[in-house]
Amino acid sequence: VSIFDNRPGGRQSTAYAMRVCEIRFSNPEIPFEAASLLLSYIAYPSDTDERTEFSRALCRWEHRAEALRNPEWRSSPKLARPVIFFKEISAKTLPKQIDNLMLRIVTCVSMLLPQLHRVSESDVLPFGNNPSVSNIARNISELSGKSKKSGADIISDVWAPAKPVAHLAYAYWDCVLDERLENNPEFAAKSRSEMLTPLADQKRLLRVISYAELIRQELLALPGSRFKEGDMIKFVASGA
Amino acid sequence: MPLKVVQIRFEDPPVSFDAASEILSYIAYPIDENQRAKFAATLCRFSHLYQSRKDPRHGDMPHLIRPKHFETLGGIEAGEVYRGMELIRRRLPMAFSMLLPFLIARATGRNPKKVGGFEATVDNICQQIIEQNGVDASNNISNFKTRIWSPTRPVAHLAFALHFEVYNKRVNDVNKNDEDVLEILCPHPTDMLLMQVLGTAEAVRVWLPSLARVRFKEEDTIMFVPSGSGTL
Repeated sequence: VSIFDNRPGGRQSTAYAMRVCEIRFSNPEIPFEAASLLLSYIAYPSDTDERTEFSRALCRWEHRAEALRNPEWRSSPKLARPVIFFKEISAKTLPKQIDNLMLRIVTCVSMLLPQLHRVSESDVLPFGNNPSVSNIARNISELSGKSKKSGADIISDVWAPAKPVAHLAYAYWDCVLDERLENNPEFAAKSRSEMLTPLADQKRLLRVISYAELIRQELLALPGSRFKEGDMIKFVASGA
Repeated sequence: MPLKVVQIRFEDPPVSFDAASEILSYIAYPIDENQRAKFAATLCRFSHLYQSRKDPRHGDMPHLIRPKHFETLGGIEAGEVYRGMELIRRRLPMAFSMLLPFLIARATGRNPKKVGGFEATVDNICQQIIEQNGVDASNNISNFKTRIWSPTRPVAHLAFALHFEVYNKRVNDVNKNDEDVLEILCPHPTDMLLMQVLGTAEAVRVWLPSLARVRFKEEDTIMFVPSGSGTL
């Protein structure tokens, strides 16, 4: 995985700086690695250490989940980077991190949906009121149940840090999770960590990355867009 | 009929530390299947960690693993590894010392060589091991046989073969004190060498019932068979 800043002419100005993150697909495929990495960008877009830890933990957690789903899978050789198994995973911390990730995905979808579909006050409103950031945040707060976050908390703790990767979160929802919701009536009753697994396969991840880039460009092109090129991470796939 | 037949899987390409961990786990815990499987999994994970400490690139490089050894979310319990390795450290040289005089006698058709000036019997060999290694100062021969030799018997041929083919050579090669069993056995032997170990172990096992003084029955021994794509 490489992360590099694309600064025109090598200037230090950040006015046009765009962060580009590469999601590298290994060949032969390392199970769950690219998906864990991609999701870790949604969870921790700016903190490299936390992102690395979370990505490893998620990959290991998915190994276990797959072993439980598929007993034959657990006995046949698979590729993995051993480092993901070195550190103990807290049975409390990881589900909480996954909860936060899912809340972040849902928040991003809710925030972007009205913008991408040009919903205005006069249209049919998905949340029953004006789709402003504060109204959407309040709705998420009311729906998020146990987390007890206020609308203001949703904006400051969930939405604001997610903005650089909101397009990726939206794409993951649209290409992966939304389909599960449509095809499985019991999906909504699952815990958030159950909703996340199985992680998307390589083919679907490539769609997620392409779609995320389309959304990123669309958001930047929206009239009066609050998104700026330098605020959003561009994701590219490599090695696939 | 052997007590049981165990297939040790070798894959092509090899699964890192997999077959070695299985083999070592049978020496540490030949009968208790739960403890053995747990030790094999922990040892396999630990071996990756141990190798990563020697070569930091190891952990970040893709390796073939068998997911069943990696499905716990816990950390690597070093204590469990050291406990198992301590059993192995005792059992390898003991099985070697115990069986060697009788195997040589069987092969040459002569009487077993004397041990420490005494006739080669299980009791005398036990006595010599106690004196040489101080296995446990309070031990008498009876305790030693019950606590250390008896649990080793189902896999004595495997312990002998591993000592003969690997441990003994590495101890001499690196001039290490045999206390450093981890240093000697990590990195683990290659799959090719392990298959050779299993071959030697089986050759010894079929002779065991004919070694009158150590009193083995075939049904008391575990037979190890290499299997998998790596054996083709």
